[in-house]
Amino acid sequence: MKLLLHSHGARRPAALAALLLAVAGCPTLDVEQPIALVPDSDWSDEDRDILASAADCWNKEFGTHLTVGASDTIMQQVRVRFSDFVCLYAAGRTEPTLPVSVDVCPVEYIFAVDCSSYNRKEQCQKEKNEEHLFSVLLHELGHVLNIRSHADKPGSVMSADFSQRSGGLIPRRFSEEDHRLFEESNEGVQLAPRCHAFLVNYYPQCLCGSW
Amino acid sequence: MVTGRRFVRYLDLQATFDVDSGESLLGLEGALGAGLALPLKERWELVFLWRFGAASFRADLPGGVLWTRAMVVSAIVEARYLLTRRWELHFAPVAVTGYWDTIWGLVLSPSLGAALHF
Repeated sequence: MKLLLHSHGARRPAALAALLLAVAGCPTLDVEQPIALVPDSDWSDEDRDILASAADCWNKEFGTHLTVGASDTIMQQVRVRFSDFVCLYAAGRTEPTLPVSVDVCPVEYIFAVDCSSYNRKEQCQKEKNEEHLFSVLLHELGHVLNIRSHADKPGSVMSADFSQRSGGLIPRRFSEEDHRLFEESNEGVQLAPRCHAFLVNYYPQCLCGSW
Repeated sequence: MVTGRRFVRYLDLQATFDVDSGESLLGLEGALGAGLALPLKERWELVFLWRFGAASFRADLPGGVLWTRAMVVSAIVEARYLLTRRWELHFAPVAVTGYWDTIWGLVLSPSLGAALHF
């Protein structure tokens, strides 16, 4: 019998981000075909609506065909779920290999929300959490749509750092870099964007501007 | 901390318990391991180890304190040097540890330790 004392190097999962499983470089899903986003059963109607709003933004801006909910007629399905474990190193993570899945940290852990100056504190908290969930989902859907890298430009939907991406709030529109990343990741696809999507705070959704 | 025993000369069995604390994260990890120990020279051994266990993490996040768990699988190639009949040094340049809870996370870390036989 023996007793050992070991010292390990940096084993903190927070340091995992760069060491996660290798990301495949090829497109996994066909963005010209419908993709069903299937949230777990513990998702509330409000959470599903926010997911639908994030999907709508991509559909408007890029002409993709993201839908929410399981469907017998859609071959490409992506499971979307909350995960406490993913909180240790990211607000959200998309597994890019089949079966593609999205794991989201429950947003109340990730973002410190100060609603102390508001009269309706509960409403403030709810709205802020919805905004944050929307922002995280909007970003992760970019990975679902085959974008493997992140944007350098602050304020881009696909910026890796949330604070950089949004300055604490949701980006107002898709950046040129978001467009470049999408096109590079989906070469040769023919899509019909509907409009420029303007992202609206406080009730997370996208409105149509003109082209 | 590790306790272990050598069977049939080359088979090394062990139980490990690790506490890993950082600025905002505390990790508790327990695992059982089995390995193949190959003598290299008079005082050197090379050990191929697999560990399987569970980990629990406490994280101080901006929005509050989070507790979460994960399954742990480690693959370690470790060099051991026999200092005396009772003491030995362990060194692994890279221990690969995978954490699983709906998704995988990987940690690569070096490991240095001392063992007391009793």
